[in-house]
Amino acid sequence: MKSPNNDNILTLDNLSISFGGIKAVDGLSLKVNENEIFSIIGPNGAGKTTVFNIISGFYKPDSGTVEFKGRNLVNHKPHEIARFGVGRTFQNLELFSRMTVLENLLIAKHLYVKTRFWEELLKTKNVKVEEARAEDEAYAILNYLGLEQYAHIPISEFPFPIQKRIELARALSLKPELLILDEPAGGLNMVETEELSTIIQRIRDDYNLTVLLVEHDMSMVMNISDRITVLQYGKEIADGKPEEIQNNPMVIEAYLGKGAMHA
Amino acid sequence: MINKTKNRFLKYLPIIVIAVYFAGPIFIGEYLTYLITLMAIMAIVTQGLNVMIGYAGQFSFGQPGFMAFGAYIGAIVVSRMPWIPFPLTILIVALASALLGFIIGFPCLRLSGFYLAMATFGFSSAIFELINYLGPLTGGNEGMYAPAAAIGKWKLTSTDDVYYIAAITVVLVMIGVKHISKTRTGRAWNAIRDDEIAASSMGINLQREKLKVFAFGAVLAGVSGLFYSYLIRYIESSYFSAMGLSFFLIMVVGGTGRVFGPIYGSIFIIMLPQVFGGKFNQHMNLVYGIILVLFVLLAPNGFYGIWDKIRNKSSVNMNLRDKLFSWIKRERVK
Repeated sequence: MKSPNNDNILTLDNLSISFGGIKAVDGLSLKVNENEIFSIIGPNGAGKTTVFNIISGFYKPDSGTVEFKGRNLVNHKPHEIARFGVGRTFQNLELFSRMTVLENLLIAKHLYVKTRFWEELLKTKNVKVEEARAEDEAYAILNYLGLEQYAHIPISEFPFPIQKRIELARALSLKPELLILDEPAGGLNMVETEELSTIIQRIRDDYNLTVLLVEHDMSMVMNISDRITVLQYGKEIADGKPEEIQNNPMVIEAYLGKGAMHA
Repeated sequence: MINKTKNRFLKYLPIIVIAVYFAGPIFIGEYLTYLITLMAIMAIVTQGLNVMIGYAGQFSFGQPGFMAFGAYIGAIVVSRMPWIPFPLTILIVALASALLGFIIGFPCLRLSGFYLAMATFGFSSAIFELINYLGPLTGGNEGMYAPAAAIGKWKLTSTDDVYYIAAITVVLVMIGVKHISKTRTGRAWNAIRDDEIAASSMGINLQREKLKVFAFGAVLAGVSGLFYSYLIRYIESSYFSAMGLSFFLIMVVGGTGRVFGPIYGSIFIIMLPQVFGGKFNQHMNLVYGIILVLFVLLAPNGFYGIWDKIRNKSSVNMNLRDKLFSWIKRERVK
């Protein structure tokens, strides 16, 4: 089902990385088309988060390339990759927990606030204008995700599901073209997960982005994904549309173990 | 209503402090003027440390080294070219210190917590050794005379003159840091302090921001070193090496990560021996040591933390112990 078009925004080619003899990702190739929701699934330890960490520049692969909008991301640092237009959330939340919600979003505006150090020292007019603009943009995203009433409350005071949504808001503040979500539904209940599914689809349409998703909640993955790749032991074992994946015997075996097909 | 008054009082407290600064020398005589000038100088260098540790989480024991560097660069340059007016001297010292900050910051980029503290401590020691070694230039162990601040023939030799220079600078530094803390660079520094992974994935260039904060701390230390040389007029490397602890003490006592913390801290530390009437001068280091331990254990957020507690407001916990020893946790994760 790999699209032969040139409209793919992200192309992984023969990506491999190993940690101390264990091949975490082994010759993975995939193409993500613009504007689609693409999911990577697989059992625990299949290397899904490792792939994300390679894309966002935290790991350097042993071999292979990551091409984003025609540019190889390998050997670029995380902050450069953020500048190129890749925003991400983390499996275990990496919010600045002592800061307020608004401050978290403003940090994500680092690339868009055009002020110089000496201007900030003097708090020139330009600084005031830029800061006000960044704040407006941050509030726009908070409004969009229904978080505006929390703006001035420190992160640590919120329950996990709200923090998840704040992290999503922060990633959106980066104005990414590719949004990488690492288990966004982890720790959410069924109602919250359904809400999140709607939000992700809405974000994709309204902000015109491509979403790359790692998720364990199968109902959500099957619901919103345009295409899915299944990993096991760092290797791709299947890829295709949700309905194709659901009926793929290799996938069922990977999740339920050998013999499940005969049961 | 009372709360509101308190808030208003707290809001205007810095302004009151500043006003007292300016009216100072007219009323208080030379010795107190000298003490207050010393407070201003200590507050400037500690503000640099406060920004490095409290804002950006970068531990530095290098401030005494940068301070000595600033004092000696000023003295060496001006003793050879006496025609340089003192505002230009300040600029030269600031630029030289910033450059040295970049140079020292660069190899330190990959270090954090305890290791960074050790590396910067080593830098300070190296600077003092270098000063002693370069006898022809610096007078070595003997020390050297530092020229007074001057514009042409107009020499600013009295304590009052240094007082005004230092007082204006400390006010500008406080305002500048207050501004930075609420804008792009300050937020980036806070982000690096709290979570480098998240900071870098938000597009923050960790290395550039660390170099910036290193250079900023170095400039404040270098300039205050220059002012110190104006004040005491004769400099020896041992004056600076003896100060290492005081900056930490001032920072912790005032309140780490708070803009006006260094001012309150330096007032406390410099007025304390005066309260004892000079009886304990031989043992002041002992007293300071005990105070530092007590603050770190009981009031890690300094006066600001205590004040927050009185007002029943939760303060941002700067927990220095956790930050300095974060490397232990990181080892455990591996």
